[in-house]
Amino acid sequence: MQASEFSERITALLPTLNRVALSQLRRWVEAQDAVLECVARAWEKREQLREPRFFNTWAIRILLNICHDIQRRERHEPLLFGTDENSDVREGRSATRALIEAPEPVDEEQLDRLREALFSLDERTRLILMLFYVEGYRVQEIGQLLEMRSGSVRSRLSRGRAELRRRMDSALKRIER
Amino acid sequence: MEIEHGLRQLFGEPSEGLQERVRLALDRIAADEAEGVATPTHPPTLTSPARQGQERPAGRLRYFRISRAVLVAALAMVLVLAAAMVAFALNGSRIIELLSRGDAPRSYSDDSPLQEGAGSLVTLTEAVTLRFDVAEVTLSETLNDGEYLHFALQVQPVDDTVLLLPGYLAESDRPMSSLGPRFKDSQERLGDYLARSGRTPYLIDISRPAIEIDNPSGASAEADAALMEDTFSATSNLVLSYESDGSIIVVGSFRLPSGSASLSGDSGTGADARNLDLRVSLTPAYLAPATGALLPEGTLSLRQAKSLAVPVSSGFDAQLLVNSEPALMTAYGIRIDELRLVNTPTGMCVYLRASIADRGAYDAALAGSLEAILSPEQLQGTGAAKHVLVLPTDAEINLDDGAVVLPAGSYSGGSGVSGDGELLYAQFILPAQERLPTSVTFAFRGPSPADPSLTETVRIELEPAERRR
Repeated sequence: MQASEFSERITALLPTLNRVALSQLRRWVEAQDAVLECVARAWEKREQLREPRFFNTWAIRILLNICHDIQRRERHEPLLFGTDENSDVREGRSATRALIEAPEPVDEEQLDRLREALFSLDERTRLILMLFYVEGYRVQEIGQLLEMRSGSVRSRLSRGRAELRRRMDSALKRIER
Repeated sequence: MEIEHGLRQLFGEPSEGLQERVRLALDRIAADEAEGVATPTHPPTLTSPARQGQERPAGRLRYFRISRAVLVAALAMVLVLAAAMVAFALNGSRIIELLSRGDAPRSYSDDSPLQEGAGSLVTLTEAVTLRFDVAEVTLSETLNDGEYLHFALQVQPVDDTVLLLPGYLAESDRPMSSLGPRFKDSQERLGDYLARSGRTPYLIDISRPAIEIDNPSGASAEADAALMEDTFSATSNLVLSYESDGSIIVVGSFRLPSGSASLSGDSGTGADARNLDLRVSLTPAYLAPATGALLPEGTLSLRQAKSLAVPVSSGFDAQLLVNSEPALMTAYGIRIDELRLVNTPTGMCVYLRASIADRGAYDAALAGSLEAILSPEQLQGTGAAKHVLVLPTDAEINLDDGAVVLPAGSYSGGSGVSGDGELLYAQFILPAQERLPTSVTFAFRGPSPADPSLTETVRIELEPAERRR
């Protein structure tokens, strides 16, 4: 694959890579690092891609592996100082707000609740929800991407959706009390 | 906020900074290529050098890495479990009691084999102990690929406790006439028992039932996991009813997944004995109605080891012809999807599955009906007692000679909503039938905005296709 084609395809995939990284990593900065690492690694390993039509799937898998590496390293090397992860994400959101044509006003509190609920799910369910609802992948495609059966993807979608709703409702009730 | 929209808002688009960094990286790649460098001399990223040394083969997922810490923790857990099993064998009830002290929410389970007449003790707090005697356990022997496995067990609480289901508590201020006859009988039996015994009722929430079978695939643990994940979230079902001695009949069923060929054994010849380990879990939120105080939530796990001969089945295929469209069902968009009749050792099981189209209206009505009956303190922690809503509460089957068969005295049945709340299930056990029924009539009961005590019946005609083995 030539650099020009690679550049074109990875640029088109960039929004997806960004969201996948954000769904896997709690901190905005690390998600950005993971995406950049993915670009570099995908270029280095491009000869391993046998079917160009699977470029997107292949690149997302590389990114997921990088995210796993970062998560694992974090477990072994905890931060010396705590950070407000939500504020970190809020900062990232505000930086990109100009690029988003939000169809309705953004409720930061609700987004923080959603984020809290989302990150209470296991990472695979989180990823499936994001790929399905945000990226528009079909169940079968997600199954191929994550090497899961379609039925399993479907049941994780259903459970994840219900769990998100339940946790958001419960957070709302806590606030109201 | 719509979850889909919220997720989009949450993740958004790449920042300008990231786009710029990626653009720089791609420029470097293009420059390297122009100079004939096969791979960049260093990755065009801004990540730390330490991270760059951790490359792994690309393109394959690596989800299941186990760190040393996890291995050590697992080993420690195994040792603790082994010690606990030895201690339990020596003095089981004492161990449960010790483990159960304190008020923090926790799970309780008694995984000793469920045997008729064998008592199971669960201590919730130092002040509250529940003891169950299992009076009867029955498992149907219908176990064909894609079919339903039915089971029934009778739980007899002893000591000074009575298990009270939210549905029965919720119905207590409704006119008896609005209830189906079997439901009414069950509640009357409970009322009589409470009056006679003077025992304290406790609320038990069955909104999250679970049924587990060990090694359902008959193959590897991985095959089991896939089978369970695909099957149990949507198909498990438990229904409960009271007997005059205060015991509870639990009737459950679940569908075996299509494709689980190993479950059906050497189909056609029968008699492929397979050991199934059935575990029925009730997840109760204990509530003392007198004080409104909530006791710690816990899971009571009852377990049954059973050897089943498979496949032995006598079921009826039926084409559904719903001959009426009750307003109650229309209001909530309830559509009947499946009706199955299976002869089991305890009688004929009538199993109805329906879906809810208008979930919003259903939830709103549910919230309204519960709030009208229970205080906020009572509602808290009990989960959604969804079976108080529009559900089939009674059934009868009609034979071709005009005879009507009512549910048997014991397993009169009940109904519920599936785990994800999108399906209604109802199950009734009637006396076993040799003849093909011609129709089944269900009474649907539940509040509507206009009439909280509305009850309607829907008659389902059957066109038996063929009587299978």
